Amino acid sequence: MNFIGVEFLYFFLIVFVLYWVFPNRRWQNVLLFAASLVFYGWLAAWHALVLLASIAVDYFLALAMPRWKTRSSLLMWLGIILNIGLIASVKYYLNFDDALAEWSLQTGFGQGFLLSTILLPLGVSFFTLKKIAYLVDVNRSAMPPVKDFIAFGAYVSFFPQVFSGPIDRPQAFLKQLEEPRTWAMDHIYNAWQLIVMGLFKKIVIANTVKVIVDQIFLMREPSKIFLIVGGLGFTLQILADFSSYTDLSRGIAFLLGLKTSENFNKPYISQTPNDFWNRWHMSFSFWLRDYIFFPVRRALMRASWLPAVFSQIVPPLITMFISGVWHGTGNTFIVWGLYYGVLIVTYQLLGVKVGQTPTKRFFAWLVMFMLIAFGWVIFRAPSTAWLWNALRLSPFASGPEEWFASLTLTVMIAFYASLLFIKYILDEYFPKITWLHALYYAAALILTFVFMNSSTPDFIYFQF
Amino acid sequence: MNSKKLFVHFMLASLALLVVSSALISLRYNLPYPAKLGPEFDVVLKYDDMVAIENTHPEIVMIGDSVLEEGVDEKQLSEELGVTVHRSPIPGSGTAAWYLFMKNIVYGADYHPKYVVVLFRHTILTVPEYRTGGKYFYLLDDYARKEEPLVAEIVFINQMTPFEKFAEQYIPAYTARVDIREDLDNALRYKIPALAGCDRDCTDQAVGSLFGREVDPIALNLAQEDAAKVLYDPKEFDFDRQIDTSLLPHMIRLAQQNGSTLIFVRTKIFGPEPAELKQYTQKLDEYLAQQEGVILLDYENDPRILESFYVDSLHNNPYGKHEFTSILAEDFKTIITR
Repeated sequence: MNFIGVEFLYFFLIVFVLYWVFPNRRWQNVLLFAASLVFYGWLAAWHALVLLASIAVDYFLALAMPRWKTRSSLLMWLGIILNIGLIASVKYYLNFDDALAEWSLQTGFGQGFLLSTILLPLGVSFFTLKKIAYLVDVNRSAMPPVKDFIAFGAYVSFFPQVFSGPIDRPQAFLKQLEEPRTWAMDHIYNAWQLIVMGLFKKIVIANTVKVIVDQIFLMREPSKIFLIVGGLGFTLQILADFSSYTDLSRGIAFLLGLKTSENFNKPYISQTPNDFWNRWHMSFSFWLRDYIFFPVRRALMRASWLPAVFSQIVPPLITMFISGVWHGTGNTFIVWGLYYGVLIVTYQLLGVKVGQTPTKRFFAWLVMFMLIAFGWVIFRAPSTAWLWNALRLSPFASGPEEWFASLTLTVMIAFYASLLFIKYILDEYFPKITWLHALYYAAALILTFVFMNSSTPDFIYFQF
Repeated sequence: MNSKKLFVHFMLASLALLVVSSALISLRYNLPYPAKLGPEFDVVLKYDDMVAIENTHPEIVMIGDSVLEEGVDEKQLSEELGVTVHRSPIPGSGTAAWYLFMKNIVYGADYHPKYVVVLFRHTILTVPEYRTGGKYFYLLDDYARKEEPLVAEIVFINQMTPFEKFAEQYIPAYTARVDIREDLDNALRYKIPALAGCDRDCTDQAVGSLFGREVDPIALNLAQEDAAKVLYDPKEFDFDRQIDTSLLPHMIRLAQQNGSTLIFVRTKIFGPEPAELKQYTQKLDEYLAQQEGVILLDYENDPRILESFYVDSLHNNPYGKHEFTSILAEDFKTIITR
């Protein structure tokens, strides 16, 4: 079930009405959990069973931690291994193992090869990170284990987040589930902007630019100028696509009286790689920071026999490597992760910081923006061999035809980028002129009608 | 910013914009209000194939998408069979285009072929809406007459949700969306390159050359698998439900009314397929077997067709095209000589 589909609309209307007709905390949590399982198991019920089983395992492991304090870390590691095992088995192993795929095809396991290899991984990467955070936090006594299984289940499986995040922390989200929720118009006031922008960014910008980007990355040997255009296009597409999902997810959560994490804070105005990761997919990068980067750095700093520079270089590399692996099964994702690891280390070693003067800030932004766009080229490339070929062997442009085609496509990408840029200008320079913002949202809504048609391609981050 | 105030302003601005845009769009695109449900086809029909059929009197007319274009050599097939074959591949097409092609081109011609061959795969035959939206609409328009009530009903109106039906009739921005997008695309595509000395033809040629480039096979396979997901939607595997809302019975009826034998050719695919497809295929085969004047040639599991014939999961390479054409000729011979 996709957020942009009539099926979801019906589903949500039913949940919404039942949720607010009986504003009882316990009932609302039961409804959220049940609705989330239905949502997750929509295509195949056994997907929901996998989710339910994995929730139950972590619930009991966390409950056992305070009771069995000497073995608490062991229980945590057991939970982490099971969670990583779940990701690895459904996302990586099934994708690669031909024999298993063939067996799956023959037996109809999981209602078919396609469902088991492509559709099941949806969301696994996201909800397992929530559960790992929970296990780690309970183990280090940052929070007590949740006794209410329903609330824990509703947190992990929360349907607006289950496929593509944001990856909310247990403390903040579970606290809201423990409190009574009553209907208020504020829920609509908070939600509508996010829903309008989510639909607008997905339908008008991401889906349109996708056509250009896909075509360029389909080419066998694109010239460098097309690679630049494709990179710029994908830079816009992935922001519009992913942030639209987050907007819709947050908007839907607001309609249920729940506040969830922000995921993007103008990532393309970043001036350094650290700055970028503090603005891009924030719930994930903060997760990486707290559960990978800090523990690795602490461990390295404790190892006094290691040179100090190790604790500067290794943690970003490991963290970003894991980020790459988490994003996908191809080499390109690993290279993309390591690319950011190297960038972070390089900026740190060179002591590059956010610019102090407007000129320095502009150049720092320009360099970082180009690095970000190049990063997206790595990320979107069909294979590392393809990318290597395009970078090393292809000409810059093979003739005037390519220049004109690039110019045309750049104009189109720039137009769709300008729709987001206008919003940025309004937010930055005219934050208090209400009617200007209202007009922007109204125009976005009308444009969404114009661009809407029957087909809605998947959100990019569904694949992770 | 006061969120309640912003909401109220937004509602007012939306209402105002909706009224103004509705008036302007209705005038610009000459729309009635409320608009008629269903597509607006133009009166122009693409006659090339009809003229060719009338001139060459082929015994066999073949219809399909790019798989036909890359998979069957018309000249070779004609020579091997000893009869005239007319091949009409419509890249990017589905059953809606094939039905219209049969109705208005094949049976719109004065001469009717003895055999009409349709190349298909997956669940295409019972997914009428496949490849009919957006740019695909222009492809349908090529083979549609001004009024096509059956296609309008099955392909468009039946597929609409109540919300879409409402928007189609009462929100001109939605009704005229295809034309508005085309105008916007044209403005973006031609204005700036024209300033740089590249006129409309020059821009079309430049962009066309990009979109007609040789593609990377890995990336193409991924894109094709992505596209196949539409055909693998769980509801599409429910043959009993899909058959009555598809164009397949109408394609069969057309052939029967015009005295042609309709031959469906299921092509082989090298790539993952869901287990549910097996059950669907079985039901489709049973259905086709019950129809008078319908023959199914199934190459899905044919050992004669090798992976080395393919350039990607769907399309043949030149060698594969030659080999597959020979296999088809061999099998057609037994049908023709019956």
